[in-house]
Amino acid sequence: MRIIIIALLAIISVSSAFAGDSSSGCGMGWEVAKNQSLVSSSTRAIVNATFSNTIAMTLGTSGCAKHSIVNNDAKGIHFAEANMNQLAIDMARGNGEFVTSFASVFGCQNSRAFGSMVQANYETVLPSDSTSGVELYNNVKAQIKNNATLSSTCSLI
Amino acid sequence: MRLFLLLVLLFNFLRPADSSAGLPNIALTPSLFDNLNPIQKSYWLKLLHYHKAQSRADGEHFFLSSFGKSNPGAELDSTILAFQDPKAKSGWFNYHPQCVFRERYNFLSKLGLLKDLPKINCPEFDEWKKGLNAESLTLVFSSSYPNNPSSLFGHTLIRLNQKNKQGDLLDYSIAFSAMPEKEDLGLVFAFKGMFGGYKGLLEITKYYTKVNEYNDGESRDLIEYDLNMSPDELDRFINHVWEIYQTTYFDYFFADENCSAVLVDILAVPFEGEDVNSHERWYYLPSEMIKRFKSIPGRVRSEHFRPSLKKQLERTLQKLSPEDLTEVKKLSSSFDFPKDYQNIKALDGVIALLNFTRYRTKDRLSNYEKMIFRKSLIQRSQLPQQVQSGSLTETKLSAQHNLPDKSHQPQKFSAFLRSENTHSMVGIEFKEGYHDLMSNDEGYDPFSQFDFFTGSLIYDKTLNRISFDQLTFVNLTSLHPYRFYDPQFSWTVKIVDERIYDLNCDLCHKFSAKAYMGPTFSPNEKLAAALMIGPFGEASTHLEKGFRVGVGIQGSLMIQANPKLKLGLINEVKVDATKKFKKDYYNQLSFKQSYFTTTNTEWRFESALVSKFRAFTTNTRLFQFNYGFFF
Repeated sequence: MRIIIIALLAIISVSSAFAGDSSSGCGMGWEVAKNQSLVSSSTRAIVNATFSNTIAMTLGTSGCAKHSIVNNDAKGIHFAEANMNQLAIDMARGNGEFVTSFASVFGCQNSRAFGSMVQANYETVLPSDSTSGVELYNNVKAQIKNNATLSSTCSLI
Repeated sequence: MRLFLLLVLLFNFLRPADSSAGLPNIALTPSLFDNLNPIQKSYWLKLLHYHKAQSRADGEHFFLSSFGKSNPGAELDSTILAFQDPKAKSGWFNYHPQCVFRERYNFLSKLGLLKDLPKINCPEFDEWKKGLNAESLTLVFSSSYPNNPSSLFGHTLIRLNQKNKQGDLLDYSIAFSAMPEKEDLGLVFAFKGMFGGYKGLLEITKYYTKVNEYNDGESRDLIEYDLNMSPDELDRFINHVWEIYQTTYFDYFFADENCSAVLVDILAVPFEGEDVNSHERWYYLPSEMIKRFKSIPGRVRSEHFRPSLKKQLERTLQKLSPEDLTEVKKLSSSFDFPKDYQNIKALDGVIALLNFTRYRTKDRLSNYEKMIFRKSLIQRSQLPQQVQSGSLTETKLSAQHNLPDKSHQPQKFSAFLRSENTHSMVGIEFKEGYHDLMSNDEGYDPFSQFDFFTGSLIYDKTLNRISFDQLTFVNLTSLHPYRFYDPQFSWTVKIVDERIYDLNCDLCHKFSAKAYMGPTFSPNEKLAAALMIGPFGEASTHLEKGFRVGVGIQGSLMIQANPKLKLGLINEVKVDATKKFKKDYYNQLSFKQSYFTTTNTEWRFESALVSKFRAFTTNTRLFQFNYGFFF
């Protein structure tokens, strides 16, 4: 559970670091808390993390101003941040369910080529065991751009 | 039994009334609801989450009439009026009612009850629904989690499968969960969870957060049931999810308004005439939801098993040769990681082991474990990819034994014949729930036990007396195999009013409680040997001091001899700490056999010898033959 909470807090920090506007005062958790006095601020943060950062932020529908980040990036960063542990393992092996899904957030249909690329560049995309999800996402994105096959086939780059 | 009835009454007392009988009829004018046919009325009541005569929804934004919670007609009329008002706002986000109550809108529209409505655009809803991108629905059951009493029965959630997806992880999941306002501990948490002290909210999040939470964080299996639904059914379900998501919470009652009960009410909306959310008893189990869908011909299209992180590790280790296993143990605890290490199987073993350890210890790997983990991953990245067919999450469903749809029903009635020394008896037993060590483990975690509210009556032919025999309040056992990668103790907790066998006292009773823990050896799912120790306490007017407390030791050997036969040999020793050790030292040796004739019927034979130390002539010999059926 602690890992989940840490992951959620990490997600919140991602959203506040990347969002040009503040997440305060919008999102399901805030609305629920404001109107219903249901949840404490910590729970509200978690509710916001699940509601506004997945559906609302990713899709831009949280009843508040649109976030300034690109939707696809938010989706990929959220995925990387939430799945760092399993991604680190699947990327070392060069395939697996998490690598396939990670490929799809970049629009890479060729998950085999994507898996080979992240495995071959493992230490570049994951330079340390404290690499954040945002760094991982950006590193992988940069490597896709450097890869002739992937840069021409991954549709969301 | 009296206590049980008292608890049930207390439960019903604390729960909000489910019936509006006695309430004044609020609607002063005839409602359009009165003109609907029974099928249409039923659909409207499902949309409003009515059970008997009252809605279970508790958020005031859910109702457009002040009387909507108990008057569906008033709610229908108010809904139409709200849809007609171009300036109306509703829900947590103050959207127009036409945009909030999408399934009500569709339903009333189809009935021809919505005329001359203002044209309202709903960009938020359209964008949300487009983002879900759903083309089908999967029902997901998370297996039980014995470390948390509120998760003992498992959990259910829904996955919306996206169109053109690569894998399931990026799909959205829908779950209903209690949201405590603050961290309550122990009894407060249990009490509030039982009696509506928490609010339950719909949670919509990416499926990977659930895989992380259940598969990895809590090492629970996820069993996925793909449902056959028409596009229209799926559409109506999603519309209804939106109206719940935008407007309401539900007071959370652990027994019958829990995570699965509310979720199935939401899911039931598009299923016409199939009664998927009926309750078979006063409590609702996650497995009941799965069984109901499995019982409808053609509704479940396919099933998948997503093993827990622990099972993934076990499978990885099982595939290793003894030499490779030794390598894994050595590498994972060594300070020097060899350069250019080439053994892929052993490396995968180290990675799986340290990954599981990270979750088991709640992210408290030591610095050298982190170093080994990192080096293993880097080394692994320089070796060939794993063979896809050997995927760790690929699992044959037929090889699994904890599928909820295969489980016996939770309640049980038994009749038995018994002899206690020279006394012959007949008796009956009623069990409220749920599963005990000698029951058929198919559908449950092997050698687990959670019994509550089990009571029996006996007729002693020798004494010509009917008597209360025993009442089990709770009897919980988790035989957790002790492994090098998961060194956890098993435990058992029992609170019971039961017979005294070690005194010369006919049909006498004691109130007894115990809590033991210790290691379990279990080489496979068919055998478990446990040794547990812990305190016990007993109280009775028949005891010399009125009570005795001390230490108990229990050894047990459980064997699943074949799918229909289970054997158990249990020996328990209790030492009364208030007396001399040699004088008050009690022993009970039991041998038990269960024979399962069907999923829900079984025969049991049980023999026991209860001895008092240094006084074996006062032994009680007990034999019992029992037939029981689950319902």
